[in-house]
Amino acid sequence: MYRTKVFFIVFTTLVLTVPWWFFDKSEAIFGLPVWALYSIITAIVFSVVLSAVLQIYWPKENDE
Amino acid sequence: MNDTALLSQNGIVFLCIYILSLILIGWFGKKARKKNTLSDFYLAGRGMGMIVLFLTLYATQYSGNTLVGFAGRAYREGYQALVLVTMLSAAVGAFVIYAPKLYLLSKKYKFITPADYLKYRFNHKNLTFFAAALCLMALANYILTNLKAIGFIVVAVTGGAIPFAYGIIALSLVMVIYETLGGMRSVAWTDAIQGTILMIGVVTIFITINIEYGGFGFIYERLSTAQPEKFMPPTLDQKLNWFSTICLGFFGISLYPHAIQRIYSANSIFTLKRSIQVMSFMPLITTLFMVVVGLTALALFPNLNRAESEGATLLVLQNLAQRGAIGDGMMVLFLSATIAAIMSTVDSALLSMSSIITKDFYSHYRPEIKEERLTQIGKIISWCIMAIAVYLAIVLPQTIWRLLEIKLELLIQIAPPIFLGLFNNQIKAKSIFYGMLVGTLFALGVMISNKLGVDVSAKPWGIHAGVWGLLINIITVFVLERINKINTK
Repeated sequence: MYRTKVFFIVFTTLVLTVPWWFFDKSEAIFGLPVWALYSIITAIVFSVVLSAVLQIYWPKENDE
Repeated sequence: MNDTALLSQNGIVFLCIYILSLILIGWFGKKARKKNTLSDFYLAGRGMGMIVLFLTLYATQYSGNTLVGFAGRAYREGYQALVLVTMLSAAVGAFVIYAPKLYLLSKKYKFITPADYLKYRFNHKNLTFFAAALCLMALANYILTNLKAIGFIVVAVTGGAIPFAYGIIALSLVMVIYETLGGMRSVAWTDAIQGTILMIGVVTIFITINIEYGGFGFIYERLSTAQPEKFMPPTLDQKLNWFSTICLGFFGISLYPHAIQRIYSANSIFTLKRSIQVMSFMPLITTLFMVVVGLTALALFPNLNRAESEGATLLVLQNLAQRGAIGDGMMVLFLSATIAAIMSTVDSALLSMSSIITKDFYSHYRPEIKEERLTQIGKIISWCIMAIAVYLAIVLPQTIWRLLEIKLELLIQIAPPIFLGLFNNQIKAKSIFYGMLVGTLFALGVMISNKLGVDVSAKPWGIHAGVWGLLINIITVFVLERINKINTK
């Protein structure tokens, strides 16, 4: 069951990294169009989520 | 020496010393051998520690394409090349899901190749051979394209003093020598050095261009009026393509046989966890940085054609050198990093191909042969593969190269046997086999038709043919499972 949960968390976060919600040209923030900034921020979030999932759900040493 | 050489004579000598020192590391790998077994040769005796495991995973995942191709793509596509960052993160995401169970099984049942797992799980000869053949095709493509890249880089570094073919032959010889000396141990140790150089190279060039030009602010200033289309968000088709690309990363890149074999090589599940944890941040400091390099090149040299854009990174470096921001040392570092990235990918793919041919095919028909002899045969096979690859990299016509570009589209078809096989005990071998067959035939049909000029899109509605193939593959598996259940009842 926990693997389904992990798959759901990881894959959903991954799908959210696609800039689905942006349609028009926007102003730049930090020299980046908003949708590109969104893409970079979600990529960072995805890395953090992966790290957290590993920390929480990864089997322990004695599971070997 | 030609005037157009990227490095001075001293730089070239330094680069040669570095490349030759890899053979010495290969020799140390041989000395560290504990047993003359397949597991020792192909998986470093399953004893890889955290730092080496992380660096070998890193060096293997990031090839020469990262340093040269990614910047070129960013030049052509603008900010939409940011998809590459998530594509490589996606591969790490897949490790998080399947690696723990596969690792524990590999330790218990002594797997050497990815097909060993499939043999254990499904015990279906055709399925095992089919999956092994798909792995071989993907690896052969990897080796060939990277060897060709090595040839071009040697020509650029020496200004043509060393011709394309000689460059490929010389570096291939170095790789095959250290690989056959110590197997995975030598490859992983050289990868550790190559990975370190790669990381330092990428970070250094990123910091330098930020200091010298000004990073995103500079790019925006130069491009916002000259090329406003680069700032437009992706269209629906492009968003679907973005999604499809990360699917290729998740279900394809994560299943490269040499990546799976590195999972088998970890000395403990904790080591594996830590290595993957660090890997999850690497796209941010490697791929993202190279995308910025490509965008900087676009801001500096706005009118390059496709072929010229492939040299975007080198153009930025040359510009930095002209401004006095970097010296010959930086150029040596970056070119060493590029060559290191290519070599670490080729040697890993070569070792993996050798293991698949030896273990999955040769040993299947000659089960009576002892492991010591198989290891020797594996080394001979490595030399044969490299000889054929070098020959093809030098002589293959461009039309054939276009067909060889099909790589992840095929490899992705082994995702159902791995993922469904690991997490669904009910799935039967027959359904998986026919699913793979239908998915592969679909992807191949679409891709080959497209490459041969038939009016068929390689990415219908923005989605790669391989991803459509995977979808058809999975649907076939579940339909056959359903039919099977009805028939059983």
